[in-house]
Amino acid sequence: MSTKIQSSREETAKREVGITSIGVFEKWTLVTGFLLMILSVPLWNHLQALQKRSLPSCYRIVPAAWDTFTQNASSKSIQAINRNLMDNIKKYEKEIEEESFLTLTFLPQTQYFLTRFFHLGNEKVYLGHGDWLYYRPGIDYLVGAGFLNHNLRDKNRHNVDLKQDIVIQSDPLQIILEFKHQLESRDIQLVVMPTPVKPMIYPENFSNRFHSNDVALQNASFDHWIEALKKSGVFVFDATHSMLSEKNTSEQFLHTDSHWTPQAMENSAELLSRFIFENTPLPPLHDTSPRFAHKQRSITHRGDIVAMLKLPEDQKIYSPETVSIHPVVVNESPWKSDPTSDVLLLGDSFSNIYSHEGMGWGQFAGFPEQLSFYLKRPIDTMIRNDAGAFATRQMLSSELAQGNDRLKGKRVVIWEFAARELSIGYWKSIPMELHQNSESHFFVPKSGQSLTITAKIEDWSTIPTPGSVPYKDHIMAMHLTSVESDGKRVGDHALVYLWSMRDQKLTEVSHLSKGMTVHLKLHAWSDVEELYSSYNRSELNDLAMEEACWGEWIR
Amino acid sequence: MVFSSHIFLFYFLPLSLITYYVSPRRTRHFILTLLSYLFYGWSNPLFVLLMLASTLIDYIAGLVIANPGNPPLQPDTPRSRLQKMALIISICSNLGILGFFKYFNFATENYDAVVLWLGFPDMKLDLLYRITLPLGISFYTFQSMSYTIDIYRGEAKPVRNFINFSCYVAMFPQLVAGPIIRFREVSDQLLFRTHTLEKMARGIAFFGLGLGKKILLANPCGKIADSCFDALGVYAMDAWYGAFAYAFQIYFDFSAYSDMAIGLGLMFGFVFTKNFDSPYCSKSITDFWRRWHISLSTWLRDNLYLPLGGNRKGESRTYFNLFVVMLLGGFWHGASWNFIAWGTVHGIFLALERVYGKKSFYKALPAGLQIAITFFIVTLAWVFFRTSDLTHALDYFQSMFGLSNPPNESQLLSGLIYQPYYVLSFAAAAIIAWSSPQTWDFTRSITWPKIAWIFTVMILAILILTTQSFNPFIYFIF
Repeated sequence: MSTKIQSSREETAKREVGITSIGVFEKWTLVTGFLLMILSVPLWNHLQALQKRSLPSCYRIVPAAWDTFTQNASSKSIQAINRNLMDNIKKYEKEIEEESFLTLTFLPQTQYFLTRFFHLGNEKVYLGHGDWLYYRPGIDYLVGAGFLNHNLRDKNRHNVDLKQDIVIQSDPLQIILEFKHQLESRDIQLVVMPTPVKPMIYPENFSNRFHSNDVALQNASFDHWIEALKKSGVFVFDATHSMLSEKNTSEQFLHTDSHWTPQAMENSAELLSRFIFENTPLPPLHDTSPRFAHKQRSITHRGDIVAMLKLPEDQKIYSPETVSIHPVVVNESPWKSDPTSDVLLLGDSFSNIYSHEGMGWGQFAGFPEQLSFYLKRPIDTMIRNDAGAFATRQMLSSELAQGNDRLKGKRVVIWEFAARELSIGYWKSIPMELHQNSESHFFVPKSGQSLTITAKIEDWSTIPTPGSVPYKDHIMAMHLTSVESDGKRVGDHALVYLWSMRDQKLTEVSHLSKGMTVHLKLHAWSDVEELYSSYNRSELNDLAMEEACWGEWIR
Repeated sequence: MVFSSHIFLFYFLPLSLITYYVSPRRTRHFILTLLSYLFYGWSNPLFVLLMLASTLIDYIAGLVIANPGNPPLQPDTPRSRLQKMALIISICSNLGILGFFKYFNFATENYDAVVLWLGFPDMKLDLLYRITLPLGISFYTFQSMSYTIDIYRGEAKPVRNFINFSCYVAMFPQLVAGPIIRFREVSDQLLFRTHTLEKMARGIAFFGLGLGKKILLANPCGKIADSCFDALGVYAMDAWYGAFAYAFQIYFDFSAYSDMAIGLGLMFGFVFTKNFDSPYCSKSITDFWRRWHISLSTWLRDNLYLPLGGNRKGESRTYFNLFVVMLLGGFWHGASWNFIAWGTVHGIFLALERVYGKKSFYKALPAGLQIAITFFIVTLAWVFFRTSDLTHALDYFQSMFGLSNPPNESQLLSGLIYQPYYVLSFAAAAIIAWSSPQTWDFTRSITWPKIAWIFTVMILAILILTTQSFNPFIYFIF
């Protein structure tokens, strides 16, 4: 019986196709139109390459795959080669899509149409009422499962698995307690500051079901987490309630940006300074304490969430916002981080937004500056724009591992991170061990000098997709081998930091693949650290403790 | 590689069509096989070896069963011990590969849970490594196995040419998410098939409409469903909206894939059978399973239900067989208790309806109400399918029936899921699911207005695609 039924299904299908009714012109139009449509993108790619007299980018995968096989075949396991190949494939696919004329030409217009007429954001941006924009992880943090929920942690663990193939713990409570103990062994007090995100304070501008909220929205695990930390002797400074009570007098968040306003930040800095004086043993400064003063400046800029929407540059839906910032001057000079201070601030983009010129909202007026102003003392800072769960701890750990005791003389460490990191952050365990100042085996040019080198790419760190992250610039880490200058071997390995994304566009160097040869101009990282250290940067986990260089690509 | 991706649409597909049509006729299967391996290896090159191993085993087993040189096997002639052994090796190796890659993690997790419950924590395995599920393994192992089974039963002739057999197993249009093409359905086409402009045009129509279903309907409905199902707590109205959105998402996602697979098959000259037949117009669960994922239900019927005895061994055995088939069918979808629960629910309804003579127990109601009730039951069962574990499923059911106390934060969801674009897509999905013609019927006669409609849908889908970064098909993970 089954054969009969089956054959009838087959026959039906064949008969169906056999009786397709379509005219000669119609079928030619459909076939030609379809072929033109799917061929338009590769044809454009080839024409553009012809114009530039270069190889079309769609063939980039071939040398990358070939190098993966030929250069790693003898030295690496099949799994490692496979993983390299998969990395290259993913990177290639992402680049092909981003460089396509279809994406370049139609994405902004399509997004404009969807935003304007259907009130639709994208995978990273949710639209609120009026010109209020919301960064998706902030909403997910509030409506999703509690961050201490084991299932969620398993999910995070498995995300990590994809790259590492091993289980890694990701528990914000345990990791903060671990850091507290690490600092305690050096007699340093930890203050944790989870910075509120926009929908916690302004849910009414996102959902009609809120009219005005007196109670801050929070993740389901937050209360338990904060209790557990307090019980274990960790000081937690939570600015949520003050922001909530202040929101009727001044706006606490920028409309088109994921960050707080200068007023909210300054108010939080003042409250934190009081909190520190009340709870931690900071000694009074000597009479020679520096003279702090505020200046005033007005800044007009468009928020980071607008950039993530990838609208046309001349769009009129979201206007730039104007804010008044208060740059801090110390003894008549712009404020500077002081590594000898007894207070260290580890912070993310909430700390950086009004400090770092690259973020577009002015400088010398950020959270460290204001905190320093209200504490009336210099402070030391380690700031990275994203990944508050681990990035700044990693920076601190690297310095200690290289023999630079950044914790020397510290009394208080403030760890500021966006509250959403509790759900989405990578809460990995990081050692805080001070090592002897040993000589790195990795090549670094002498301080103050630069060197042009040729080397092979061994590995690189993760590169974000433009528009998918709340920052426009990114620095990648690249592991180089066989480093040569003027035909002479100058080192076997080098760890180089380079721009991978500038102003929401991937740089040319980010298109290079593993195994390829690269020409770079290198500088010692210590020469440029002050300029670039607070930009968002991804690390190569195995090499995070090695001494690095800064690289500029030579075509 | 995903059909609805930039790399497939603008690089892989043109490359495939050009290389296929410019190559001599006798090399086309080789070209198609190479392209299919490239397609499959794109997500994880190492798994190509696994598919190759499965293909080789079944090819050799097929040759052994067919006993070359002898006349073709007849259904009623006895089989030798060697032939039986070859079939057993084929089935065991395919199920072994499937079992290891798909169910190993599930088995170890449950083992750990049981020993912990019994009070022997030292016996826990606590494995640090997890097995990665190869894409489409459930589909190609079933497909490959159907070859040796069909030959053993004397329902198909074996393939002498290894390339032809590899082409059948790996054929990229339906490799990762079906429809499950049984060997006897395409064996003749592997030897001879026509390539006509009519076929190509209809294939394009299928593909274009499938692309539209995926990008314009399934993805927005998926966004609603994801937001509701991933939330910690949901208000009743939102929970229902999310569950219905998921019902639309899974239908349009899977039927889009099937349409695209059928369309691509036609572009290369193959005719695949229908996989969906307006399933949400079903008047009973029995009717639903005649219309939903037809290739799987047919496979399960022929290779599991009938060998178990079907309805030939009495009533109670029939109910038992139906129940077992649906339970295993559920487990085939994924290694989780949720899929077992989903299969069990359908198994129970099928058995109950068998008692009522293959009709629902609400058959006396007007047709519209029967359809509504069936859709309601199917949607409730989808909750098991979508949730991460049984606790999550129960929590979601509580939300749907107003028995939960969702946190204040859940109110935020409304700002997202009721955005005009999502509401519009949801409404369009509902209208199309119940009142628009099926792709097979729509493309039977292709006129100028239909061509305009197909191009409009395709262009809109491609434009929307530029704003999305990743949109895998739900059935890719099975």
